[in-house]
Amino acid sequence: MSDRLEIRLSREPAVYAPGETVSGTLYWECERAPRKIYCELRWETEGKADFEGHIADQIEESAPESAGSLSFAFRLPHEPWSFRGKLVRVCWTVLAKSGKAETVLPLVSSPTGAEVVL
Amino acid sequence: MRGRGSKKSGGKSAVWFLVPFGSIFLLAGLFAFNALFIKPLRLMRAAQSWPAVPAEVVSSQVRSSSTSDGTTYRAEIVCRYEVSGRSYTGERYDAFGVSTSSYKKWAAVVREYPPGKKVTVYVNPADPSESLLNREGGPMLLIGLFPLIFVLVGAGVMAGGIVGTARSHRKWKPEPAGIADGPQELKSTVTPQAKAFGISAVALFWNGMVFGFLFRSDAPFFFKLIFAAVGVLIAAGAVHAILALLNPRPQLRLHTCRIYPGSEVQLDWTLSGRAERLERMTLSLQGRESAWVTRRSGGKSETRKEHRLFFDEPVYEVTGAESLRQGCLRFRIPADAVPSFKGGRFEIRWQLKVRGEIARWPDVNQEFVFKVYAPGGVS
Repeated sequence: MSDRLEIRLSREPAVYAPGETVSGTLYWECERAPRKIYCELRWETEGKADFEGHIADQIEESAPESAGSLSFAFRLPHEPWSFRGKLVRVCWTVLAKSGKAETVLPLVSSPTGAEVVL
Repeated sequence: MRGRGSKKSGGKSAVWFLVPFGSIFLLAGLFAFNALFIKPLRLMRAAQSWPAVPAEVVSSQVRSSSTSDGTTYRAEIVCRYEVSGRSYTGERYDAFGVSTSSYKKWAAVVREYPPGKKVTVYVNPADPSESLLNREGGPMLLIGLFPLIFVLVGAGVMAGGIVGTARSHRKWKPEPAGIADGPQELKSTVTPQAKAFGISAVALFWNGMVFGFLFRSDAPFFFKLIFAAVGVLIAAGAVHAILALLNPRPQLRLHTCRIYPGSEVQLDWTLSGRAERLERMTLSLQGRESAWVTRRSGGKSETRKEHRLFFDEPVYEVTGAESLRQGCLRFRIPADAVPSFKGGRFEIRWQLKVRGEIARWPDVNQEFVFKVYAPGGVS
């Protein structure tokens, strides 16, 4: 059995206004108890531009059980918004990681209800 | 859900790629600088105190060596001289000992030193087998400075890789909240003075190198022509920028600092200087995305800043000398405008562009940046 991580957000679809709270639960099931498990809210760039990635907020649990869940609530900063330009695209995500297992859930942070296209 | 491993490693790979790549340039530049400048300079300086010894030219010829890059030539002048009753032969013409592509230059040197000619050589008192026929430097010494370009490029690429990667992975903090309200004078991104100074400095440097140095070298004519043509274009740009210093200067003042998407903004503008020369003036609201983009092809990597306007709409247009002194206008920031943002490798910026047309003269062309804040982000 391989390690399994799953993020469930409390909102579907994952579209938020800047400043809102992104909440949800992280579930994991591992062969052996991991040393630590963490979950973070981050934004990254895509597109022609050089990569840039930043962590806006993070929680972590040290020495968790081999299976369990962790609730989180991150407040989205007011900027940057999710947008897509010809040179750069800014994407918000919730990322969870434990050892080699990793999962990413994209979300949108925009007052228009959708990623802004430049 | 989607994977992100490749993206995450993309930022890190820049440092792994750029630092070794830059270090190759840096080391190659330092090696060449040492061989072509430092060593010859030290030898020349030492030879200034070496005793002059009478000698006779034994043989004199132009030596050639061919590689895939072409044929290069050097003068091989063998002199015989005596120190403390012992006979020596010296083969070194100058401190550089380099070959160049010019046959003519070395043929002239050889003609100057025919076999049998009585000459003076400068002999190392510590090692009489070492001698120089010519202990002057001249333009050859300047060639030794060229590797510094490789040193600078290498250091720049390494620094860019390290700083860029550090920036792209640093813990991000939103800008602190709180902005003062009240009017704001907008500043031009590049003043006409800075533009004229910058282009003039580049023109002087480039043309100084081309006409003061390249044209004295033995480079092929076509090569010289290309460099000269670029020099003429840069010089024309400098003249254009200097003439633009006499243009009327726009000054822009916004009634508030608190500008958000959807805000209506009031702007006062004035033109100082000879505004009557303007035939038409337009103000445009522009949104611009800029990003550092690294392109790799083959073993080469090039990083440059690219810009693209995603919004460009005129907000004001005025013609006729009478109304071209000052004015007031209102414009609206689009409701879905992405707020200004400056990341480590990209930027979203909003600006007002002033274009003024003058007949048979460089136009007024200035950009004034202002900040569009995210609603709720500041108070």
